[in-house]
Amino acid sequence: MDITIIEEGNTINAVFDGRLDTVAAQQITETVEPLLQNAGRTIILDCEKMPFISSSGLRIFLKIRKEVEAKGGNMQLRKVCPEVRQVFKMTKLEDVFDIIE
Amino acid sequence: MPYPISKYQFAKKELLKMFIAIFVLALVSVAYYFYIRREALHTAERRAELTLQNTERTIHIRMGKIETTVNAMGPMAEYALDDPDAMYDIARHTVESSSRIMGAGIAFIADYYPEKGHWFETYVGYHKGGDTLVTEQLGSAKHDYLNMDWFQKGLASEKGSWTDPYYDNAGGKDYMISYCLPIRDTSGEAVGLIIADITLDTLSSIVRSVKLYPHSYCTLATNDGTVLVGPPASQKSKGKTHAFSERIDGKNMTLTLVVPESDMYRRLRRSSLFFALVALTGIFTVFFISYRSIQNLWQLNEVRIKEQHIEDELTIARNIQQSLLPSEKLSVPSNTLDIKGLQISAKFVGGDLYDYYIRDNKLLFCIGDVSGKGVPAALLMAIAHSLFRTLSAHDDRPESIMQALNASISDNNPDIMFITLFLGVMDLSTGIVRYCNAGHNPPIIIKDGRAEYLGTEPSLLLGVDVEAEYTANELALSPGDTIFLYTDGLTEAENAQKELFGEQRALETASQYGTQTAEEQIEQMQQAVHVFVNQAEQSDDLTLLIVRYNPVEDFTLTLTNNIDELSRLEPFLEKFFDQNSLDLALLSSVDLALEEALANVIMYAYPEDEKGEVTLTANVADNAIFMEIRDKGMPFNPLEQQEANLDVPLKERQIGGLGIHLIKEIMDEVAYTYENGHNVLQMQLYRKPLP
Repeated sequence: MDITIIEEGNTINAVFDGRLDTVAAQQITETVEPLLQNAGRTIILDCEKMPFISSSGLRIFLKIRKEVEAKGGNMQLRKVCPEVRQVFKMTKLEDVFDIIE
Repeated sequence: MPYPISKYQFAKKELLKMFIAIFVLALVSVAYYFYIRREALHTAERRAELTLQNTERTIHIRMGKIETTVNAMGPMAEYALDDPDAMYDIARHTVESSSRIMGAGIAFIADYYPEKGHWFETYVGYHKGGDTLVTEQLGSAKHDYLNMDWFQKGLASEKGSWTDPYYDNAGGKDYMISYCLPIRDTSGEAVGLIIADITLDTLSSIVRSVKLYPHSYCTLATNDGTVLVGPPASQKSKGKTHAFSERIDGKNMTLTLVVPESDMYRRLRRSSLFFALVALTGIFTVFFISYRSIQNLWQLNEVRIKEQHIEDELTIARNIQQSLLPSEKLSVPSNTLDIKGLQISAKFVGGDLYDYYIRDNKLLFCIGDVSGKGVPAALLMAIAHSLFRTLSAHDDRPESIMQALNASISDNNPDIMFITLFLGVMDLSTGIVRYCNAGHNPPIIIKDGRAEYLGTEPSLLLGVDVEAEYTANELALSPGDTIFLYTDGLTEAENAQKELFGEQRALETASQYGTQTAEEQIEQMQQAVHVFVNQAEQSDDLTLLIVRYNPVEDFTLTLTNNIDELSRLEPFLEKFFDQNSLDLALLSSVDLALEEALANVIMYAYPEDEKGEVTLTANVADNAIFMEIRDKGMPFNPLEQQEANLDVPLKERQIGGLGIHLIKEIMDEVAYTYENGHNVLQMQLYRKPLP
């Protein structure tokens, strides 16, 4: 799992590349730290290249979401693949995240 | 299909048919009677016409002879006109020339011979009853012939003519009819008449002789109605009559033939009487026969109803027997077994049986044949089946099951019926079959494509000796091996030439089995028998049972309790899906559920710093994917773990419990057990894609 973080003005774009499974979730704990720190701004999680997400992955997304909410920022999920969307559906998180195309 | 109807209804139906038949017969008879009657009338008409014509001709001829005689006298009289006395001779001559002529006279116009007086009529004739001729001169004031009708008419007539019949008061004293011929002088003036009298009897004898029918008669009358020859005195007019008439040409007379109807239709009456007699006899016969047939038909109907009842019951029995057969789908937790049976009964119910079921990872199966056929065999078959199920419920040693089966069946066997039975128990994990054969046809074992009969000698069949003992033999099956079991319906299947299918053909067919499924193998064998038997009727029950040992390699993945080990899951699942040709649409979900379950174990089952293992086993059955996760960690039931509450707002949600929720969401069945120091989590997913 590779995460590329690009800052564009007030927007932080994080591109997730690869499976966000349990192992990956453990590995990226530090990588996502900048996102949590900048939770007051607009954070876009680009999921186009993320075919899989486990509950650990979901927990990371939720952690960011809580942080953003606390700091009054904005968070969007972009280009979620059907498999991952299905997981969101099963866990009733579909409406929690702001999912855009 | 006969319906149960009452005898009354039945008889009514049959009787109605019969009455219709009789009615039609009667109708035809009446029509025929009237037709014949009309024919009889026509015949009578034709006969009457002919008879009348003949009679008329006879009368005509008879009168014609008189005419000829008199006509010959005419010139003689004319020649002798000068001599009045010669007229006596001519008259005599006339009478003598025909026996029919009763008298003849020659009468002259007034004062023709002045010396003879005003009237002159010579007459020669027989007086009534006498046989001598009397010669007279009849003309006088008293017998003033000059003013008589016949004289004036006769004189005026061109040729000879006949008078109307009259009563001759003068000469003949009888009913007469006379022929008058004018005599002319040289100037052609009619001066007198020659008269020849004949009695009416002359004609009436002809008329009376007409006898067309026994009671028919003929009358003769003048055209103006005077009856000349009436009905005979013996004729009493009774009943209807038919009259046919014929005028006599130029004689002012009519012949009438009267025929009583009773005579006319006499023959018809006789024949219709006969016909009626025949018809009555016929009707009685029909009645009798119908009565008997109704009785017979009713009996037949009752028999048919009874047969229908029996057939219905047999159909039920057949359904019951079919229900004893093992259900098509066997709940085996893997592809270890491929098993298929076939049973075709020659009659409604049969005496063959086969059964199988799985218990404690063992397949218990049997195939047998009860002696005899039909209902008795089927009943014993049902008993044997039930005994097999009962006895094998807690015993998996074939020899002891067989022994108990034999004891039960032999113990009360008044009709001395036997069962041949092959009974086997297969350990599904090793492929070892322990079996016992009580007199049954040896099965064919197909190993590595080579088919051969199981060599073991069969033991005594069931039902003979209550104390018989049975021993079991062992057979080791390797993956892909097949046991082919059958009843003698296979080897003794007969074609039209009375040849048997035989063990050799069965073996040859079995040798051709490759990697087909049990179902295909059954079909192949059935097809072989079908081709061999061709058109011949199946004479015996046919039962086939194929058991293919086909253990599939379980897919097993063992991980240590290191979270990085989870990365081995995805490649493992890809291989598993690929080898079992599973729907890849399911892969992502299965991956997620198993990852969650394995991660759970890796992270929480063992104390930190303690090394532990977790094993995932996956296999596939027809309808589902089975997955099992085992570890030796602390007893922990993940299913009892607090699940994430997804229905509360995010702020109140606890992060955690999502994994177990996903497992439950994805899998169709999830079960946890703790056995022999192992946590066992079993999961099952039906092989249909998620919605």
